[in-house]
Amino acid sequence: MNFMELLTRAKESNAQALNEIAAMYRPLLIKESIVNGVFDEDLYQEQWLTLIYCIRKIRI
Amino acid sequence: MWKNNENNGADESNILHRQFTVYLATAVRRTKIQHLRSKYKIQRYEIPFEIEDTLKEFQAEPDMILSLPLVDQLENIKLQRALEQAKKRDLYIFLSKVLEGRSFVEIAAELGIEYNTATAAYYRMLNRLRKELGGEDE
Repeated sequence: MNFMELLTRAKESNAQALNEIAAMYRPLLIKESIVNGVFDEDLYQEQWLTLIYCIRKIRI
Repeated sequence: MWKNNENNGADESNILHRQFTVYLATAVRRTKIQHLRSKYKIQRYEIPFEIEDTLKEFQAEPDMILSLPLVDQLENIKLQRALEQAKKRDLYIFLSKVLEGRSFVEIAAELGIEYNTATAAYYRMLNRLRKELGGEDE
């Protein structure tokens, strides 16, 4: 399955597609949740919301 | 894994993948800045229970803000956005003129451009900021 199909399914809230995208971008979210070398749990949660927001918002 | 080496940007799906990655990376960075900013604000206005504890935190927070790049230190979101959207060269000319007080002749000589180009870039930035900020400074 290519990324376009994956994203289309994720937009329709398909759990498996969402999981795949989540696995793909987890390292990025972790990296951007580290402040001054300390992992910020609250920020990490916010980053997940950002990911979901981006999936919904992007136009295919 | 998100930096996918197999992605050569050839077909539509790969292009979309790249676009999505860039979009997400920007959004995520913005979330981080926003989070830091609101955390900083809460700590600034909170009523301290233990004065000694708070003093330590007060010392830590401004350091964090100051260690960010210049553009991220700004509190005015409109201004920040305007500066981020500007061309790098225009921004450089503008900041050299405003912050370092250098003359157009110096700046033009350094960048190897015409005097008129430097002034044009400066006034372009000025107009853009006026527009973005709703003409408050006029």
